[in-house]
Amino acid sequence: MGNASSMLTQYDIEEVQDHCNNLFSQQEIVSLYERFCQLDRNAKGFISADEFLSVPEFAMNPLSQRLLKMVDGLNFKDFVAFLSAFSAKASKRQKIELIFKVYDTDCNGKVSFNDILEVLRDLSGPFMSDEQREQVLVQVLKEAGYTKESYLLLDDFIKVFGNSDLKMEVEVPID
Amino acid sequence: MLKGHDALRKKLERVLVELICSFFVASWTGVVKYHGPRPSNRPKQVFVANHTSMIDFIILEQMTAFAVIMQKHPGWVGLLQSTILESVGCIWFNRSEAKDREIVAKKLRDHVQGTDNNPLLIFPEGTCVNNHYTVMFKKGAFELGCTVCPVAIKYNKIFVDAFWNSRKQSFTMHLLQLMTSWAVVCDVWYLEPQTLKPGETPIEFAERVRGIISVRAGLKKVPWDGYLKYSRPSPKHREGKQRSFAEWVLRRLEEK
Repeated sequence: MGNASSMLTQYDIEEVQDHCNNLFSQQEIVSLYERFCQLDRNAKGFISADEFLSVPEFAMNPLSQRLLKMVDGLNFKDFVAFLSAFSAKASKRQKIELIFKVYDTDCNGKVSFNDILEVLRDLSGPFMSDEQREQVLVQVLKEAGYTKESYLLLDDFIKVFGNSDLKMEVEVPID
Repeated sequence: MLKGHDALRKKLERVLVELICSFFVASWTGVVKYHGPRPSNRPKQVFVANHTSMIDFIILEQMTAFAVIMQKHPGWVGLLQSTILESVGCIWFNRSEAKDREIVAKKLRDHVQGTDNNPLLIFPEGTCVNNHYTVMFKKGAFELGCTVCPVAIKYNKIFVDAFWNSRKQSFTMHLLQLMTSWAVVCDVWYLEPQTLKPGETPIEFAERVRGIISVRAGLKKVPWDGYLKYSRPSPKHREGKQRSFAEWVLRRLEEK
């Protein structure tokens, strides 16, 4: 233990920090690198899907498959950039951007009724019927001023989340 | 030896085990500060403590000869377990055996009912944790119908990190690391005995005692299952989350 940080030069740390727009401190990046190396069993330079699933909290997350699509195969620099939305210094907009990406399954820049229905399916599993899910969704959209045919863009998400408190922060332990 | 004098023999064994443990503690320059009243051997009581390394047991054992429930280890540690610890009355379990839980639960109950047994020490986390957090306590120790006496242990990390990461190093390496470090400094607090409150479930009882220990030792409580260190989560963990989400959503829908 401890040989991981010797592979990161000061230059590397600064490059990673720049890539994530300074949302993590240099010490946090060193800690993240240690964790990255722990998960990347055979030093491939990226973490495979199976290695992500070895983190119990991740495996238990009903949205794990969606998140996996976003992080599978990322190198360390991109991994930190992905995580930067969870930094305490990240803006609300950045956090909402990540949530938008989770909902936008086909990555076409807009979230449809069916996209949200799919996410709801992941979140509720076998404990809600499809009719109940549709019912909930129609109600939720109506309250926000949208219909079943609406396509939501990032700006719509920002408007909807506007005033609510988004607790999406991770604390990176520094030794 | 001393076959006819069972009580005396037991007393002697207890003293000897305590002595051996003291030598052991001295070998890694253990500086242990004990707080609180020394445990007394009363019927129908168990002791629970947070777990950081196998040495927790030795530190507690040098003060009072506890009987303990442990995972059987291979190698020389297993040998030590079989010989010295047999005399204080230890219960073995095997994490990987599914049916083991019921067998062990029965052994626990039997031990606690017995009048002449040494007080039983249980580490309800079920695994070694890094001494910054406490993970979820297994409820086994809390449904025996006994008083539970919490013990909190906190190591001073400045001197050495006493956490035994069994995934990363063997116990031998861990011990060597401890012996070659400056000193192992820790505090042990014997806390006020707790009983099951009326209307409290064993799980709530376990959580309450975990809170007491965590506060005393300055540890953070986390809602993780210690056994996940050894195996992947089963689908029912994920389903639990889905279920609570679905129930919350449906409730909100009904309120409209």
